[in-house]
Amino acid sequence: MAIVTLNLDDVVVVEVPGPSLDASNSKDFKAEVGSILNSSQKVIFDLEHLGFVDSSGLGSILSCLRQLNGAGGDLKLCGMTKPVRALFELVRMHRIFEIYESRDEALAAFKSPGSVPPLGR
Amino acid sequence: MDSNYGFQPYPQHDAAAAFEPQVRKALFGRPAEFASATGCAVAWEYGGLLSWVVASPDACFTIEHGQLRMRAGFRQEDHSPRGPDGRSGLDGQSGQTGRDGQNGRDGQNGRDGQNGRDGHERNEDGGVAGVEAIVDVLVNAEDQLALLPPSVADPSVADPSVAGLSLVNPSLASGAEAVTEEAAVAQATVAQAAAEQKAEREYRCVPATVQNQLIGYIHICCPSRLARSGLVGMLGYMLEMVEKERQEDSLLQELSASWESLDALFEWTVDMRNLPNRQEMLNRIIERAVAVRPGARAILWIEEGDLLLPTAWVAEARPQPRSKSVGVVGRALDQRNSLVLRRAGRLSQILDTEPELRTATSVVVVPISTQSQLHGALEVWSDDDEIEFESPQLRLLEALSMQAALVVENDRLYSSQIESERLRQEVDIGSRIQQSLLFSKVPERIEGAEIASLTLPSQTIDGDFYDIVDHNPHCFDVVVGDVMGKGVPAAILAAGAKSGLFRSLCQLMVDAGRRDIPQPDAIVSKLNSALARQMMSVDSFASMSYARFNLKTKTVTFVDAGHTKTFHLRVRDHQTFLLQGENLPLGILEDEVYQQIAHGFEPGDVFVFYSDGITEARNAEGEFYGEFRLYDCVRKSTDRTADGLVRAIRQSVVSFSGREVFLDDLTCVVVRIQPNSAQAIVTRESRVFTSDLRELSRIRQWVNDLWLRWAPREHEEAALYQLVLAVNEVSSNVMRHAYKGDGQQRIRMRAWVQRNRFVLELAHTGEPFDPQSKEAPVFDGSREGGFGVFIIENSVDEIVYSRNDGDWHTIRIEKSYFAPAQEKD
Repeated sequence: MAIVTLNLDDVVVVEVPGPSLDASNSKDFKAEVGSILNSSQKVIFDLEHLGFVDSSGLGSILSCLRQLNGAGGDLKLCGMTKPVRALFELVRMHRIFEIYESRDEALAAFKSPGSVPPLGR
Repeated sequence: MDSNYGFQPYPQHDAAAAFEPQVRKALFGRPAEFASATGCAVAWEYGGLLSWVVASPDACFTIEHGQLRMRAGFRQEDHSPRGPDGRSGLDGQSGQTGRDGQNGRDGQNGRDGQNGRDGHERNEDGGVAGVEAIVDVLVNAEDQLALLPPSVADPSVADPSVAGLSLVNPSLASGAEAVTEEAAVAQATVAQAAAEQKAEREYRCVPATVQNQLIGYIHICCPSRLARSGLVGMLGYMLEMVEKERQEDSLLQELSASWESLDALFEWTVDMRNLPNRQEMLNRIIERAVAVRPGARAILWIEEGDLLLPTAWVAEARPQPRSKSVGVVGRALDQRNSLVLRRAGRLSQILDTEPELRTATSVVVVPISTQSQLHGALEVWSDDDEIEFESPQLRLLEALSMQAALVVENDRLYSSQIESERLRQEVDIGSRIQQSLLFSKVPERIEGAEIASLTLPSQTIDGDFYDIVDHNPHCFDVVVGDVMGKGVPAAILAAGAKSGLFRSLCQLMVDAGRRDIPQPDAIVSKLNSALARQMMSVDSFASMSYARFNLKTKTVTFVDAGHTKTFHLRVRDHQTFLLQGENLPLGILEDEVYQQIAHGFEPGDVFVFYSDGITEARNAEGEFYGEFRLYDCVRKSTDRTADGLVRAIRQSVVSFSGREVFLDDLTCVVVRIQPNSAQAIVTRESRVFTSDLRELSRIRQWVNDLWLRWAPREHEEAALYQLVLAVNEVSSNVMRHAYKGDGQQRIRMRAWVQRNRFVLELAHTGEPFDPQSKEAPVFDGSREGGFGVFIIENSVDEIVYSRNDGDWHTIRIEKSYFAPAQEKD
């Protein structure tokens, strides 16, 4: 699994590879992204390529959040497609994650906290 | 009236005769009301006869020389010049002349004919006061006439019948050979124009058809066009009444036939217990056999080697032993089937060998047999042309021959002292009683519902019985009962209970003037009071469920006489209801008043009636099958047709108990209300996937594509996301938990795309997956797992886990195209 990352100042944007994050690849994803999380405090997952996430995929994203929070960092999400958004809302994860419409909004939220309210809290 | 007019005699209508009794009943009194309200004259014609005529004050119909005649009188005020002939058509002949001279054949003609007379004082020349002119015409069904007073049409015409003729349609005119066709058309046009302004009488004939059979004609003579709408209304009403009468007649006939044969069996059995020996019993049977039709004769033949010995008879001459392979009797024995022959022509071939049939016009032969052995035959015949043996008589004779088999078999076995064989034969006979009398055939055609039944007879016969009574297209009764006890006595008591049921129903129908079908509580109360003494005298009782389904009001009206709880599955929300009352079984208290309960249902709903043989089936450990397993089996069945459910119940009981033969009878009747068209299946698809996690995306794709191809255009996208998510979660659980990560196994997917929902069934052969064992999810982000089951349950409308078909476990998911599942908080 090749993960594209962009470093913008101190924020790392991870383009989560598509088309889906499910029980068949969520472990791989967690392993791949682990090293990135170890070296960063501020991380954005851009989910725009993800057409589908299941409970395993959600679990892996949740573990990323916990890992970052544990290290004093933060994870913001953006670019969610409708099916993925539906899952997050179903299990109320939109209250746990900061979710933004676009990558720019997520970046802006890191630069000046509070300037952009996350979606649907 | 001569036949110069060239009309054919009125045709005979075969169908008409069949409907005539109902027409008469349905219309009793109605035509008179109609006629007096509208001022019309009305006649009902069938088979070339005027069955009844209601004359109006100045019009009447008669049949003369096979031709229908209408006479209409016009009053002074209708036109000024007096008609040339003051003779009234409304003489004493009105409405009484049938073609074959059967005057007053239904007792109404004369009375109705009076209407025409009583209101009018006769004047000296036999006319009616105030009636100035008579139009007297021959009419037939094709005519539509507008009649004017003779003076308006052509005052110069001398003969009033010709005066009428000049105004009628061209076919009539040409028949008279009095005018050319052109002239007739011209006259008709003139007549029509005149009629629009001044027509005083209109003649119409309306053919009456019920179920596409012509049953007769209504002839009507209206004083105005307005009355015609009344005619149409009356015709509609009449046909409705005729159809209702017909349905009730056939129901009553069927009920009486069933009741007679059951009742006969019951009474004979009770009766015969008091008879000392075999010969007396067979004599009694032959007496009963000849009583089925007046003048019938009968011989009871018993097999002895290659011969048939006459053992009991009612005949002119003492019958002689004969070979068992000859004649009609030989044929019936050979075929082991009842034989019914009618008409002398057919019987002429066998005169030599069977002299008793020399003058017979109809004959019935019923073999006397148990399943394993043929004992002889019951031969019944009649010499009377008028007498025919029909299905009710045949059923009675078959019940008698069953009785004879029981007598002969018992006698034979007692004398040979083979007790175990005797018991076996008793079971055999008992089960034949059950199959032929106690378990009714499920009606082939009940619109709006499917019914299927299951009967697994036990080693010893029980007194289980059921019946379905089809009242009309939207109303039917289901009765399931169980008489305490075993063996032939229980079967016969059950026959008694069932015959009592029909008798109660018939009596109540007759008492109520058959306006309404009696209510279940009344039927059961009446049945109980009729049966209680007999039941008490033999220390028995019967439990029963009586349910009436009304598909129009979507209500089941239910009486529970101490029976097992009837189970109702409401398919919309998978809610289950148990229908249970507080009444005692039948035969405990003579004056028990039975209460009925009304309960609503919806399209697609399922009802299960059953005997305790099902819930009390045991497995090797001695556990009962129980109600819960039954309900669960119905709830989880993927095939919700009545047949499919009966199969599923059978499979479930058999696999639970590990046997095919039971201690008690298993009886079960499933009623499924026809689903809405919304529940109709648009397409079915199936596909097999492997249990590799990488198949998940293919599974999602398959579901997604099916949905997009078949779902209604206005479906909700969110509903699709939720379905795909749920299917993914279920599949992933099966792969990881049921198959424990083994990617080489199979997952079978089946989809039923319905109009209103998407149903998907996933089947696997791994460990059963128990969703209940999963912990509740935590939503605070502190745990990464535990969402799967929550996601599944909150994404779909219905999920059912079950085990069926041997090793396959199935999980069924249902998802509506709309209304995303609500989040449970």
